[in-house]
Amino acid sequence: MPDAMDELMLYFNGINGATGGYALPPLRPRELVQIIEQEEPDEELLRELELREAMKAAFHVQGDAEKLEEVGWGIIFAYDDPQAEAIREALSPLLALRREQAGARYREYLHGEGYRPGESKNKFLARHGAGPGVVDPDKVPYYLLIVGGPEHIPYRFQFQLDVQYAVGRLAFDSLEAYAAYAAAVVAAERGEVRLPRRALFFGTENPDDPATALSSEHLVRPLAAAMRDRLPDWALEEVRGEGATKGRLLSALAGEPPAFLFTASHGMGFPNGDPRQFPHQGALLCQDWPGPRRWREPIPQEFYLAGEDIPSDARLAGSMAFFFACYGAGTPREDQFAFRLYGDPQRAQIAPRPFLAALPQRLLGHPHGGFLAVVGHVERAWGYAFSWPRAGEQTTTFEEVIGQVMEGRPVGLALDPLNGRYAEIATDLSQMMEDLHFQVPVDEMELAGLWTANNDARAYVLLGDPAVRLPLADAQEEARRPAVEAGTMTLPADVEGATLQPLKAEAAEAAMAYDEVAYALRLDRESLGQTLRDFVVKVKEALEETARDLSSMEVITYTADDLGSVRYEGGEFQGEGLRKRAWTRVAFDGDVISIVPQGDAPSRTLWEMHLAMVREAQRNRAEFLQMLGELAVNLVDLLKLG
Amino acid sequence: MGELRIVGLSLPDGEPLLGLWSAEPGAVAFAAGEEEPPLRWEVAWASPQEADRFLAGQEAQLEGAERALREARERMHRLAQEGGHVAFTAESLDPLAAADAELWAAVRVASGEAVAFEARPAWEEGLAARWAAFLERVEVLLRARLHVETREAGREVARTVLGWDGALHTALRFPDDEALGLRHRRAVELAMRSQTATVGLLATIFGGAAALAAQAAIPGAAWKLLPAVWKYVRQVQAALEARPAAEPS
Repeated sequence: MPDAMDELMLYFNGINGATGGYALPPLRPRELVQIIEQEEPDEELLRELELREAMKAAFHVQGDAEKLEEVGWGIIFAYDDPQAEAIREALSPLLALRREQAGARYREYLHGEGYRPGESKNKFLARHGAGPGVVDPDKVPYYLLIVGGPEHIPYRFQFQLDVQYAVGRLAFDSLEAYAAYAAAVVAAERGEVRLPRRALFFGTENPDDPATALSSEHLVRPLAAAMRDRLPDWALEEVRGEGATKGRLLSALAGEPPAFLFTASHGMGFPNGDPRQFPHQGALLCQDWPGPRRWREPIPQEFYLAGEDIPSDARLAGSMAFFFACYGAGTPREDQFAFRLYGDPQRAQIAPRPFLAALPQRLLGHPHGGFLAVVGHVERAWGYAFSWPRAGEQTTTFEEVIGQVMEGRPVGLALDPLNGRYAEIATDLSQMMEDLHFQVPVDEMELAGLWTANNDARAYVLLGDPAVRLPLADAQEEARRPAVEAGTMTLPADVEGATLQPLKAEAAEAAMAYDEVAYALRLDRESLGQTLRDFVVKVKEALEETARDLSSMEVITYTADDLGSVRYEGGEFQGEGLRKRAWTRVAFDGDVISIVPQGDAPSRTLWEMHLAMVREAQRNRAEFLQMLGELAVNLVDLLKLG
Repeated sequence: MGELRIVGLSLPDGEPLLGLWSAEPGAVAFAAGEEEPPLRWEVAWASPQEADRFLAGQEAQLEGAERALREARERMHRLAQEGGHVAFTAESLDPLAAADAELWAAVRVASGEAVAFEARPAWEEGLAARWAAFLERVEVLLRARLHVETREAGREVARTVLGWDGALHTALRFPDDEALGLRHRRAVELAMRSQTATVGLLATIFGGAAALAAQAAIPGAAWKLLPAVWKYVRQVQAALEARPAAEPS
């Protein structure tokens, strides 16, 4: 992060784990201004920020933002995410809860309603009848949970949407993690989790490192002091400098974790494609690192806390965290800053694909119930967040955000001051860049500061459901944090002698048949009878439909007291008294996952019936596709003859 | 005792599909939200005591239909390879041999050779139209998702829907009745195997027509053999059904 007290050089945060050095060299303000001059503003976003800034006195949503029934809750899936249906199923307990709470203002944006590739926030909102400005929750809810990684729904969309809405994101590598997260939120909101009011403020001060010296002294210390004053009923622990080791942080998480954790440290960065990039980028570099002068080689995992360090038997349910660290929440594919700095597109790509940091993913999707929310930074975090040139320490925004989180406000709402700050900075920057454009003299240090602060402010993101609150125990209430089980089980690959096969062979079969028939249609013989021509077209369509979704196969078993009222609509059974009792998905790669509802688990008889149906579905699908392939080949042979 | 029927479908000649499933046209109303005309494959029996025997009988019937398809396929390929050298007569007492003769006659006529025997041409009046009607119905059958209802003693006890994407959704009225669950699974399996066998029927017809047309050198008119081949496959099925169970086929 830049040392705001130094007028001569700007220092940047981020430690390269492969070299042990800083990720970027320090710059003079003049050099940075030259970079800024190349900046092409995002006009759409700028208008939104200016609007937000103009109406900052008035709250920007119609209704009481603490009440979901007034401001609504919605979930956004990516149109092109093949796992969307399965993820929705894994999250179903959470969705049922939010539907119950938000009533008519509950929305699911799925399939055609979901986020479309390349869509901007305004286009997405316009498709759903909403425009920029004050949020009308009858059109689009105020609380919006994005589901899926940034390769499907980009960070930019989240940044844009977050200006006016309370936005969070979930993205996990497994359906079990989605189910575990949903179970943890439901347990917290149903009162099964009640945490004591304990918080940990953790700040490293690595030797010879001005960045962490600054964050410890000018962020962690004043924040902890402010929270002690504001929340006297909390037990607040402050660990800075020498004691801020990996061991200390890990023991806090593996033992009895605090309800709220704040950390300020370097985040680990790795070169594009480094094998440690996906598992370790954004991991928290602790006091174990001896600093840049004494350590000039690759940084070992003993120095930093990564997602895989969190033990599987930890009891994390209900807590929240704020990580002030580079890449603490995620990493984009391109680093626009480096691109402008070096003018080299090759250096702009910093990761094979954009991704979420593994540490918050592990904390949120922990198998025994995890954190409800983690706030962190996408890309590098900068000192401008808490220290302003010539003005010094500026922690009011952080104090307000963290104070509200610790007071138990919905976390998406509590983060709003960060968005307000972003709007203010962006508007000021816009005016200064306009001056620069018309060659009005500008203060280079101020411009460099504003530009950096703007990039920094927009990239704080919430991971988790934006409507969650800290589940705090009242003064007379006994605290409790059970292990939360999601009711999720993974079947062995071989169930009672019947192997559940990957779908690859079937997919190949259908694809071959489709290609054959498509080829036959190109022959397009006039002499063919009309009926046969029509039939060939229909076979092609059928194969197309079959081949469209071969990524997975799902089997669902319901029970119903009255089948007469049950109908099959929109791809599922619907009707009064219908209960979904078991759900299994067999993926293209052979992964099998089954989910049963909490508190309504099927009997052994029903479960075995369900498993038998899974095997039946697999066997039938393989045989049917094989026969369809034979039909296609024979049809083509016939058509070639005319 | 029991019944297998497809509600919402009509079949030419009123013949049961694969010899198992009767068709009942027009009894299904379109429901809101349905993306396609629903077809219901209904499996019904009067009582649990009768169900096992009924299901076993239908399973045996289906196996017979599957066996007949294999037999028809092999015979047609043999005919295509050896056709000119096969001694046959239209008046043969063996119904399979008679069917071979009739089919070969159709091939000869399609290839332009003179007809020197008494088998009636395969494109006899009405056959082509009935074949076209059959193809249309089967296309409807294959495009609709498989919707299987099991009824016991007059009431629906379970329902399963199989989507084109392989999704299998089941709703059960009595989830803890293991025996009933097993009966429903057998009913679903019957329907699914029947759907696959119907595709197999078409594959056999198209493959047989292609093989015969290629060997008899009748390019440009291969598809015209389809009605005759369809008839032939039905004849093979009927002949095998009529055989005593012990006779090897």
